[in-house]
Amino acid sequence: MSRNVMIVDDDASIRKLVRAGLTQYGYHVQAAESGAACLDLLQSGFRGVILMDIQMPDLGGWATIRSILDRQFLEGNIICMLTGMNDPGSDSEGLETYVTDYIVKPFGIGELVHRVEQATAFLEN
Amino acid sequence: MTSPASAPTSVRNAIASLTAGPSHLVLIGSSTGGPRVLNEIMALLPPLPAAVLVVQHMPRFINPSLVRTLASNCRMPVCLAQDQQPLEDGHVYLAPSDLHCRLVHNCHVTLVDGPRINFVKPSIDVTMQSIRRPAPGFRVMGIILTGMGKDGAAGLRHVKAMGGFTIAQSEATCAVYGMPREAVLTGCVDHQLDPPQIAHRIIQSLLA
Repeated sequence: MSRNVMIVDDDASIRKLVRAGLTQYGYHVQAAESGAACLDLLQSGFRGVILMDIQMPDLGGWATIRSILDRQFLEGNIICMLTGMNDPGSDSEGLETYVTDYIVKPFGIGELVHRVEQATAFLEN
Repeated sequence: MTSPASAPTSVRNAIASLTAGPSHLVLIGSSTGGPRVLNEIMALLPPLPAAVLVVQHMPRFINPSLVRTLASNCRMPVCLAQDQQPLEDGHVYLAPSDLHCRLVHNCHVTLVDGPRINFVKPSIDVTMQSIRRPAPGFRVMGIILTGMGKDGAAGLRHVKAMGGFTIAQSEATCAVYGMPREAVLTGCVDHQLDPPQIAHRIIQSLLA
């Protein structure tokens, strides 16, 4: 069973929280501090659930998703936004097609695990 | 030449299906956060005297797994819609990625390529705007679930104009309230409901 999760967030406290929270539920969590680091992990073969922040310096969440598509890294991955923005605005321009779920900070670990379990199920089913 | 009466059962069923079409139609448009909500709604639905057509924005590689996931939670058969497929009561059809899905005479599906509408393909608007004014007694329901952007708003307005019944998912239960909000802003939404209430309203409308 694939239980790989990647947290992509420039906020170290969020990366630490997600890693600690999901690890205790048996997930293998890799952390990327930027969109570029996310692409590096995908290039290295990561497949699983990607929890993606929207607002990051340099390469933001939407730009990272566009790069994932351009580099054909999407297949085998489920992308969920993990963001402080209640309203993602209108910048997605169709990229929402590739975002399976949207989790707003602050979040409880129980809710996060529930969402990740459901996202993982799409990779398993 | 084989007459219809002497044709094999499968052929007669296909002819009957093409001629009759579904008794009613339920059209559901959904995007980010939608798979979870679809699961929740489908799990609550009994076999319906209607065809259910779902347009979910999603990457192509998810198509088969979403069909399997919904099928495992639903008491109706679930399949990916195919070009020229007649719609049948008690079946759930999922529009495949990367093609627009139109209805012809409210009774069968046609899949067409073309530009993205509202940046997406399939577009919920394209599907809902292909609805024709139904015959008396034929009910059409248009439902917009969680998602970003505005796809589905114009479609829902069209469903309403064709005499249909319209629902938007409640803000509190949406992962993203973008699409339902845009639908509500058209002034053509009859009800804003939580997912269990949406299922209940579908049942009430079709089975009461």
